[in-house]
Amino acid sequence: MTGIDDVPRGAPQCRRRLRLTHEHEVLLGAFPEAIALLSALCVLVASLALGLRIQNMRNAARWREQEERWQPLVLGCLAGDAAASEIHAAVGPGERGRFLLYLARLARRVDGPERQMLERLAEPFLEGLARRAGRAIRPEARATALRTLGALGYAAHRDLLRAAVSARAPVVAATATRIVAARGDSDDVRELLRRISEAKPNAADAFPPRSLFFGPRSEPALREVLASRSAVPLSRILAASALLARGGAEAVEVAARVLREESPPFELATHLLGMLAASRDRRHLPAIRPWCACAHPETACAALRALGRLGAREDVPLLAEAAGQPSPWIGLEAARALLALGEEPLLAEWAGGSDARAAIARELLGAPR
Amino acid sequence: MHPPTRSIRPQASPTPPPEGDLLDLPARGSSRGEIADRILHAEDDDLNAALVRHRLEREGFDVRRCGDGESALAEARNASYSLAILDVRMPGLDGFEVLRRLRSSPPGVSLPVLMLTSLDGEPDIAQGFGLGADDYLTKPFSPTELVERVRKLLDRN
Repeated sequence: MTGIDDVPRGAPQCRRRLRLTHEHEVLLGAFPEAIALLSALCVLVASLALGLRIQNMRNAARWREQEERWQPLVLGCLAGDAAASEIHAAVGPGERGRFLLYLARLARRVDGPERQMLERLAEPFLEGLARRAGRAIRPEARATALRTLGALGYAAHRDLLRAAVSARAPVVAATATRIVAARGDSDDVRELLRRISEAKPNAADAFPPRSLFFGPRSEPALREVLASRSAVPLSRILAASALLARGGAEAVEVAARVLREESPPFELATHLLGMLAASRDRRHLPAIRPWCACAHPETACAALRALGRLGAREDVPLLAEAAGQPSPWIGLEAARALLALGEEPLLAEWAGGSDARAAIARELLGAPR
Repeated sequence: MHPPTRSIRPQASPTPPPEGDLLDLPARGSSRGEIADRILHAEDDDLNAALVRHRLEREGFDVRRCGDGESALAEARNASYSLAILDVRMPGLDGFEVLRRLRSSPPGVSLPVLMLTSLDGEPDIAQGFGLGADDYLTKPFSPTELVERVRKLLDRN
């Protein structure tokens, strides 16, 4: 290789190029060391990953072995073939947490006398779990303990679970909320809706029906809250959302009555109109029609959507008038409803004109359906 | 006590039957000269399947499990079963689709079907019965109630 001392004088460009070459030499000299360092890091990380993987596999194998040992005993106990004491004897002191998790998985699948039997099986081990649910440092550990308590000892630890709904840690509060909602005891549902309404101004959006599952037992309390004029509007919206998710026919009757007889806030009215639309029951059309003229565009749109689903030819004049509204959202929703009712020729006629409805009609007729 | 049914159901066997082709297995209750009712259970969840299998086998039924809709449909069409228990949410075909296809052509048209699913909304239950289910049980379920429903269905059919 050419060194810097070999560069002839009077050739600055060449010298600069050769100086660069020298810097490259320094870099190249360090390259093997860098490669060696990176390789060592890679080996370290791979070893760590392998070690964790092996540990996970061992844990999974141990848990599988434990569950295979417990399963015949527990299923036999549920069928009345084994005594609870036999099962308690088969659970070592270090296995109790895992055993409770296994029982909780089963408890989420069974109901009736078998569920009660599982709760009796878990009872001797729940005190330690309740302490963990209240005092564990990590919120995730508290949430896991609450989930297991909810599955196996709801009645005995109801106060703890209800209090956890207002916990500071979101994961704990959300877990407790889901447990209480899924259980669906009337008092708890009323209290839960009240707390959510007070705690979160946007609760209706924060707890859409898909993320907050109310159990079948909750329906009477949900209907009661929905029908109550004294309940906080947000509670009623949450109740309406939950009932809409459950698809209860009686709840639709309550929703129609509220729309006919009250002047609910527009957010609640929007939810109720969604319930009526989902019911596909045309008996509720009289409760829907007046809301098409609601001053709040979101509610008016919900009413127009409902008319598009349930309406008939007699609703065409109302929809045609709404299509000419200054609000483009209302106009578009009304035109969509007309299209849903088979009024394509009317839209085609508008599309040829030059008024406000023409653009909407052209857009709808040109869009893929 | 349950009324007598068309199969004799002995007490629980301490060991589960070996896995394999049920056509080759000695039928439960055969010691008294009767053939156990064979039940097809379509369920993708292992723990649910174990719950159902344990209780029904304890009652003397022969249970065959399929983990997805396609295999359940093929099994129901190709082998002889006294009853099918269908979950709805399964990989591939869901339970409603399996039921619809069963009811569309023999031999599944007359096979008694009990839906065992977590879908507990009124529209879901209506859909199940509308497609031709003979009974509908929602999860979480009581295995004792399941046995009663199965017996009633078998007696009726």
